Amino acid sequence: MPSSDPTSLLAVLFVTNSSSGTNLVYHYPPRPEVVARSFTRSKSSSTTSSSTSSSSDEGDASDSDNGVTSSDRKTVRSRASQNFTPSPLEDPGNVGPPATPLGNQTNVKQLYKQPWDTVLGFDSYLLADLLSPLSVMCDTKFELALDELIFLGHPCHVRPDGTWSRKKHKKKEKGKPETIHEEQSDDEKKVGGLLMFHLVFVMNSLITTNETETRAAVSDMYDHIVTKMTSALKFEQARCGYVARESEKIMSLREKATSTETSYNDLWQQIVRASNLAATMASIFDSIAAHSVAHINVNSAIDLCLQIPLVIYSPHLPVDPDSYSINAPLLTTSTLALTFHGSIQDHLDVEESVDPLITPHFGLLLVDEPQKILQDLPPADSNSVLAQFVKNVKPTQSFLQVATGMGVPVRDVVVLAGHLCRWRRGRVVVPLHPRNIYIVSPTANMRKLAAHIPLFKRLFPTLPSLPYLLALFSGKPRPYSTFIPTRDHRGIYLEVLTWLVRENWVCELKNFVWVKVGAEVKRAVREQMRRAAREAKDAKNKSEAAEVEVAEGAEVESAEKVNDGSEKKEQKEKARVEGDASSTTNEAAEADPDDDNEEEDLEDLQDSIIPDPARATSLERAWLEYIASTKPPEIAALFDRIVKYFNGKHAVEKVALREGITRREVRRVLAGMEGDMVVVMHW
Amino acid sequence: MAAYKSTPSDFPPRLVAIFFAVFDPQLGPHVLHQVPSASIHPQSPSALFDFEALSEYIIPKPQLCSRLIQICSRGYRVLGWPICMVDKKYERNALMFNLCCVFEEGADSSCYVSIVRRLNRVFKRLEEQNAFISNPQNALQIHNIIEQVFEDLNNYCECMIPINDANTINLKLFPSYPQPPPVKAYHVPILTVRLEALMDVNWDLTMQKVIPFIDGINSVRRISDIADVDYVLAKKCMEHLLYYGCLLMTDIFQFSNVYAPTPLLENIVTDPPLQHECQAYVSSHGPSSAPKIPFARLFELYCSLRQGTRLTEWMEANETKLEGIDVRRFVSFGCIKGFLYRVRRYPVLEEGVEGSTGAGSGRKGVPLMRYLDGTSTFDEIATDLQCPPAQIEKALKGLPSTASLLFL
Repeated sequence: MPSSDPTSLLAVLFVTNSSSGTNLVYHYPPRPEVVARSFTRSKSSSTTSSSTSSSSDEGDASDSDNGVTSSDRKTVRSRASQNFTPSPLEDPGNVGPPATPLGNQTNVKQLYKQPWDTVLGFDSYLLADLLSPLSVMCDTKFELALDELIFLGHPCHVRPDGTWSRKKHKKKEKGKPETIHEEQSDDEKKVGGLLMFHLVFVMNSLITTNETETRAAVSDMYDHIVTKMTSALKFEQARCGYVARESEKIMSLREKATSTETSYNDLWQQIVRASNLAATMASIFDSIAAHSVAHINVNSAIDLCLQIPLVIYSPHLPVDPDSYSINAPLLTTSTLALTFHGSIQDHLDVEESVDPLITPHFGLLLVDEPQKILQDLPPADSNSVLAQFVKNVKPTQSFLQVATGMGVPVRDVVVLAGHLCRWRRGRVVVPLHPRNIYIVSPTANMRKLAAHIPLFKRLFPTLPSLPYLLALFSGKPRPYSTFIPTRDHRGIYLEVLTWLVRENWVCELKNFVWVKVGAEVKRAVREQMRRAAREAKDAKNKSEAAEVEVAEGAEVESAEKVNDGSEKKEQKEKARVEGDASSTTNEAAEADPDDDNEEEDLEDLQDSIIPDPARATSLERAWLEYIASTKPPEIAALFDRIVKYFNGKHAVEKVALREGITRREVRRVLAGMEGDMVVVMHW
Repeated sequence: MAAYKSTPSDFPPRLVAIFFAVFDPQLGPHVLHQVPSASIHPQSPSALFDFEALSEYIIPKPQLCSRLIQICSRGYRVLGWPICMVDKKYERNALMFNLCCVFEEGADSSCYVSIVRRLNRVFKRLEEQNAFISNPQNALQIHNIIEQVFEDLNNYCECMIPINDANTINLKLFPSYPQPPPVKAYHVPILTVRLEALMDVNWDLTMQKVIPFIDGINSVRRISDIADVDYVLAKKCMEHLLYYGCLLMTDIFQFSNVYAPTPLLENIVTDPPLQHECQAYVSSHGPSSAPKIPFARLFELYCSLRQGTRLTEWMEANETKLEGIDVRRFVSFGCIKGFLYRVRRYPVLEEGVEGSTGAGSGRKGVPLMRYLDGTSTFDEIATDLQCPPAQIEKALKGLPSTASLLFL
């Protein structure tokens, strides 16, 4: 479940190690703000009985302090940060660790300190050292945490032969001849003697999130952003010494600024303008910190789109409605939507994991105007199938309809839709239709209301106000068509619906069905079973008797009673009857035909729900058959066909599509079986 | 709202190794003690990770001392709290040491944060008192302490190690739960634990006053009123109990409320224990006596709840089926288990939203106007203004332009 913001991105740092030493070359944003871990409540009272107050902890000598309480943590933390991590907002003059009494370690650099030499409350040379690990720790994941700050990266170290990539490097981008890097590798050594570079993402882990969430956020960041960015930089470094050149450029600008007394902000802007590396870092930070997609261009050679995939749909309500900043639309009927928006790496997965019979019946809702989406496409693609798709797709149409309209296979349309979803340009929806039922979405963000009322008025000036419309959706659930005053209004009302669904003001309500077995059905089936069992027994007796008759030429009764082996035979026969009953004739399956325990029967003869008709026990099947037999034959036949969907997992609306029958037929079944159904409505 | 539930996941994490490193004036960062043996030492073939490479983070620069440092390497996570003690008596004017715990990288080691910090600070204190660390004679004792911490925490989650007459190390692992959502005045706490049985005279006084009134009916605000306790303190108590999972939170139950099912309703059909729990809980005759209400009937009733239908209307429609059922318990069971949700009600006045508060209607209307921008629920308004919902409804009707009621 997406919570508010488990771990936020605080800053992006770039550290190098070259022949001239380690350097924190650039960081963005210029003044990152740390949210200190702090507790909003004290948990130190009752449950941990007699714990010594933690504020005296500093003084007490380790005994009796058995309750490790969280307020303890707070006081310690704040104390620690007073001593060692002054807030970056403080006057830069006082910033920095107190001059260490280790006299010999006092650093000359501190004397000429610039405001940008303190980052996140640390001296930048300190961070540079810390983030330049030994070569054995390079070319793998790097994760360091200092209190609430997590430094995450993937340091890259030059290879022992002075090159930056293996002889046969992987194909990263089209049209990059491998030979180039061979030629360039000699130049690299000249350029600054870069030994290592490290792009570090600094995250702030808040105490409000638990460890698991933090880990997940860190690994998302690493998998989707850090590795991709780092390999792009490494590729460019290997190809043409990009990283070394850019760091030199930035360092020289910084040095110049020291002599010309350029202000912090000016210098940072200057650097972003001058250096592609800095600009890339800035744009990554801005996008990722805002949970959006970063479009970057490394060295005008590598185009990258980076994002941490969002789970857009959620079947569950959030625990705390207020913390729900990303108001995810609710949808359960389709794992499809979840798969589409999940972190799928390639589109082939989509097709395998979704229901091939139902996928074509979903539609795509673009989250923006088509023109705007087209603008973002690379110009070369402006006439591509994707562009065509963006122009043609309508939220009221299913993929199947769109595909037919465009004259392309449905498969392609699904792949395109998956692509747009992945890049947050669209959302998979059940095609919007006036016949569907919509309610105000339980996850709607009411804080947006104030801004959306005037916006709505501007978009749809002839319609009633947004609150008025939403109030209509707040009543008893009814089809959207009942809101539309006349047929002429249908078009505009569908547009309104599209907007409302897109902004997650409303969501669709669907019907889910179970079969209820009434007591009278159970009684009737039991009667039937008893009768059948008796008949079977009689039949068996008769045939057995006949055999005996043939064999011994005696009368049936006398044979059974008189014959010496009759007792044995009788037992055998009884066992066979029972065995037969339970295996072949399903009527007599579960219930023992002997009417012994009436008390248990009382319980058995209560109404009950069949959890999953597709996996019904033989007794449940008998009930289902009996229910069907009481209905007109055509309804019974349809019922038999669609009953497998009556397990609360399939929306009734989907059944018709999946079975290739009309909605009316499904409705007829439901109407005809009213007393034997339990219907629930949810999303 | 869905009930909050705290779940400690695979607690406690396994402590893979523990080691004590110092800054040796000759050797630099150096491992003095380690348990299990040879798990850290650089020359050891069974070393978990490369100590040399990590030494910069284990014995860092003095500026980075006295804070939690975690570093990951080769699938392991090292938790440390380096200490730097400055004094002329030491060879390089300072003694630096760090007692570190090693975990598998994926393990939830958060409960060890305070342990690591405490151990290092205990050592610091011991050093201050009688040069415990710097005196080579104590090496064996330090090793024994570390070994005992390792064994006891892994086996018993707690340990008590007497060091000398004045000092004892007491440690206990506490699971750290995720932070529960904030408590609101209109939340109704329901106990999941029989707190009265646990409570003794040493408990917090406010807690003792408040707990008797947690009955699943009173809201937090009401509890603070009846118990005659400051609201802020009462709220604190609730947050505290909620954090430890002793409470669940629901909304104020009213017959004018609207409830509707969520997709989780599907689960109860395939979960007979949950069905029995439900049958026992919702019965108006108490759990033991009287015949059980058939589950199918309860299920049908749950399914028949709808958006846009108030409980009163729903009860009228289902009057016969509701026999023997305590509707309040019926609803709160659904909310606690998450298969029902309260459909919240937001009064919205367009003028209220746009900020033109000129349309004040009488004295009652004025404070009410503040809440009509669509961000406050009915419950919130009622508890904030401390007046019954019916009165607010009346006041809303009295406004010059009609307010829209949004349900979500």
